[in-house]
Amino acid sequence: MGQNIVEVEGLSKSFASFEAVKHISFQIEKGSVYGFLGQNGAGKSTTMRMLLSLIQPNSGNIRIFGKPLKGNEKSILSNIGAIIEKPDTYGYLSGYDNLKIFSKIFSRPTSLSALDVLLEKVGLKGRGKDKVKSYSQGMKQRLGIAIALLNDPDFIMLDEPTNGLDPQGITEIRNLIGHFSKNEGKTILVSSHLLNEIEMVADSMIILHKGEKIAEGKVQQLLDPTKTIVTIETSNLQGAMNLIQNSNWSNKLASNNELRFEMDKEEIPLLVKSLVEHDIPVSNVQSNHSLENYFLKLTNA
Amino acid sequence: MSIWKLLEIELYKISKRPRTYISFAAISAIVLIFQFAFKADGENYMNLMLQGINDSFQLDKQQAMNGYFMCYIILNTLLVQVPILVALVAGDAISGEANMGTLRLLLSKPISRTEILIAKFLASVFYTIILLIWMAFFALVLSLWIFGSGDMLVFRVAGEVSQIMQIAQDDIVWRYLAAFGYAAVALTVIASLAVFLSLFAENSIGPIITTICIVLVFTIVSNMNIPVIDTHVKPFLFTSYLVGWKGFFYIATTQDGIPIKGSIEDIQSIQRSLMILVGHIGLLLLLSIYIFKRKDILS
Repeated sequence: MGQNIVEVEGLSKSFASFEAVKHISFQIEKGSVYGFLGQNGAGKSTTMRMLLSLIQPNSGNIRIFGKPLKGNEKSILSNIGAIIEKPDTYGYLSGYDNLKIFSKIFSRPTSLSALDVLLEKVGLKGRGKDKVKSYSQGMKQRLGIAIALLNDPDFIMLDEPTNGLDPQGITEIRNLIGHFSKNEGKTILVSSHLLNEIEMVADSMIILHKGEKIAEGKVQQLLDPTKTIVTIETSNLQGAMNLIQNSNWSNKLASNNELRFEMDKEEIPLLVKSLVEHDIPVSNVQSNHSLENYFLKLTNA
Repeated sequence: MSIWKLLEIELYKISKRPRTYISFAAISAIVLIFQFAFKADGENYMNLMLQGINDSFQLDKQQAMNGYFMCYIILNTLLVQVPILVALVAGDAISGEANMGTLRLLLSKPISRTEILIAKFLASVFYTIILLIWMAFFALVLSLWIFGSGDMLVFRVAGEVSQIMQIAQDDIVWRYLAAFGYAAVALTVIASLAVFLSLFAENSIGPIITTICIVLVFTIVSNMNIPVIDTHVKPFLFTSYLVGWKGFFYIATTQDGIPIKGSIEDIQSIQRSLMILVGHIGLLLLLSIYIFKRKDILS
């Protein structure tokens, strides 16, 4: 196991009687892309704000780069780049001016050539002189990322970075995350309310729901294809149930009231074939990953 | 990150906001209208002011209506309105950033909240001073150029008694410098109040209007001449001390009523007022830092 950049233990935060984050713990490994998945109001942004010292937790410990956040805010924040919720910048200033302001904070070069390198990196070459209020949502997002990268941070936090972007913008941000992780070795924490979004970029993830952690682990393990839930529709349910209970498939059956199986996707054709061979008509086969299924249920609720 | 670098950033941001220049334009317009009105019809104003004493007091009205006198009249009028202009910028200090969403961006950088608040406070003070210098230029320098110089008349109403004092030409400039210095401290109280109120809002309209309302209500109460308010309320209102700058023009006199050059009638009163204003600034600033350091940034 690699070194942990972030270690969170028993973190809780309440606003009056509302518990926004309930005793969550997680670790982020160095060089990984860690996903925060959850609906709006799940506690993703509140947790990220606590990691940036914008909000004080009611209880729990946060260690970043091996140091407690409390008391080491300056040194820790000097090595973090972040966009929380929206990439808000000074709309009445140009892209260059925005970058200059934050470059000065980090005592970084403020020459146009230095800023151009950064703008080119995020795909905003040639737009530095324009006022930010004239930028599209995607351009604002990219400028936000440029500001987050000004200090060449080891740890980057991106809260819903694809929100409000068109499909091309979403792909570009996804590619940028991949680039920073694979080519520059950055550790990235990215949040989203879309499972497929996290699935595409993250190595590990945590799922939050109403402030609580409901799942955590490697994305590949959490989305393990053997954990597929298969539901089969048939006009002869009783006949099918009798057949399955006396077959090799009985141990895969997940419900006694309907034909639901937990199995590897690759086994689905064999199951259908077996049913058909025993004259059980199959009218529909639905396959969902168990986690996806669970998350969809949460979302629909 | 030094405070000075942060101050430079704050001043840069203020300089780039169009609303910053509303105050300068407003002051220029008001002063120019005053000067035009006095140039066109100043004699009637002087007659009105000198009503009742015209027979006993021989005065060259044209000479009395000089640049120094004009500046005094303008300051009397404008220094009541300027707090509104100061609130326009200072009330935006934190709330404006919260509204734009840049507060969380700023606070996620390696800068302490105390540093940010002090830089924003200093930027508001700097803006206030620049506004006063602008006012001094228009109200004093331009008036001297248009109306010329000479001895200055000061009209004073103290209770039932109306008084006219004459200050020699070579005894005026230092009084103006001191008055502008005092006004800077007085307006810094307004800036501190506006910065303090801006901590509690996520758009700048709220703190700006609240500051203006507080100043207006307190000013009205400060101008009430009711004994119980004089003794029990006024001493606790900062607005009672905002006009303390006038004290520099209340010249001490001999027993024969002859003005004593370089003197001030009640320097202790000015010093006390200044200390109370500075106390307000310190208290508001410390309270702002205390609250800001503990504030959850939810914007």
